[in-house]
Amino acid sequence: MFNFFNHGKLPCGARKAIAPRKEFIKETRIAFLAVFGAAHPGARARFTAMARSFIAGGAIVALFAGMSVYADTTNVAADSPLYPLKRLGESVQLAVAPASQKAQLQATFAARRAAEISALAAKNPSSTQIAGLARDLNDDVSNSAAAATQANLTDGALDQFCGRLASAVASSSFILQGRPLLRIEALARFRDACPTSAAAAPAMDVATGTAPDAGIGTSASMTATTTATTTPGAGIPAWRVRRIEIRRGAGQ
Amino acid sequence: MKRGDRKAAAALYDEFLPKVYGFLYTRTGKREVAEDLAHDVFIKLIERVDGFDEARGGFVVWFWRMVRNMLVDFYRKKKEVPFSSFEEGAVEAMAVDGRGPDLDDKLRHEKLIAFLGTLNDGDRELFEYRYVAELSYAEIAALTGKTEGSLRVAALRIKGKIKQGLKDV
Repeated sequence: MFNFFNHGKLPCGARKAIAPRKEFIKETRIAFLAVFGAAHPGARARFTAMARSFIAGGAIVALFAGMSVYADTTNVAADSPLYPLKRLGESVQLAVAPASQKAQLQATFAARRAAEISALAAKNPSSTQIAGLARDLNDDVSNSAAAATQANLTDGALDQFCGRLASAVASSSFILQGRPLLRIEALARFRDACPTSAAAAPAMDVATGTAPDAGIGTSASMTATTTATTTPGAGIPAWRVRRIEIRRGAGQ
Repeated sequence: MKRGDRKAAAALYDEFLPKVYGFLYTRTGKREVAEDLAHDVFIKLIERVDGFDEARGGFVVWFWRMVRNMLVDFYRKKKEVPFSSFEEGAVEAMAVDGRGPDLDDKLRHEKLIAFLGTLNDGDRELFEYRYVAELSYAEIAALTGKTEGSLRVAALRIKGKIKQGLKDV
């Protein structure tokens, strides 16, 4: 037998005997909630307004997040309307990345900046955006090198980082308005963080003290004089030819 | 519910309606009366819930005090006799409204009625609060003004009656 005193409940049969009719429960429930709703008209309106705000806010955030991811994955150009979202996405990635990954990320971003400058300079040499991108590029190279030194990367991770940063540095080695894109400070940091890669990188030719220490000009009229493409036939990269020319000029 | 939370109101209704109805049905013995009163209880709850003060006690006690007062008011107005035998035809009605389609339910209902008839007012009240409304001894004590200890002693006293009376229910 069901033990009342242990459970404090009626047996099913007894409970059933005094249970309300299903129709009564249904009808009364509807009436109760209708009266309740009428007694609290503001509550529903408040809830609806709040729900709308949340939905609208969520939709906006989702839209921005989606566009940001799209801008990041398709690596949109610097003159694209989605470019600010790409940069925002990079900032978020950098903020949430573990300390050991920050250097690699910044090196990747440095390579992106270099590619963006190259593309923008080819399309519109007088673009005012180039100066800002060049500053960002220099910052990314300097910061990534500093982060790599600070993180004390293991051999494998250091090789990977240096390879990535060397690629960024190499593709940044074209000249704008007669000045190298990368500042001496940034190159020096690269050399400190990745001595082996730096020694092998032709861009370091410029960092031996002959390059202007003012870095890239900020004038809107600066123009690209060469790009990181290979000179046809000679097998010598165009930037390398330009380096040689600069050195010869400095020596005269 | 005080803040107008519809979900809370619906949940409260689903939790309390069967207990309130069962309590009122055992008290009045009439299905229609129990339904009308149960409906009134929940409408009154909407009207009065703003007056509920948590600092002065729990909601369950406040709610059941309101149910009891409404029942008292009902008897004052109608001058009906509480605990009268269940309405005639109640068992037959159960058989057709989908709740008790078989003979077992009819018998259970009759046994419950018979059992309630054997209890005195105090024991019946304890039975109804404890097993129909499913209140704790502390809540019953707050409602009736009796001590928890005396309620437990009373519960032990009627334990045998309950075991015997609802043996086959």
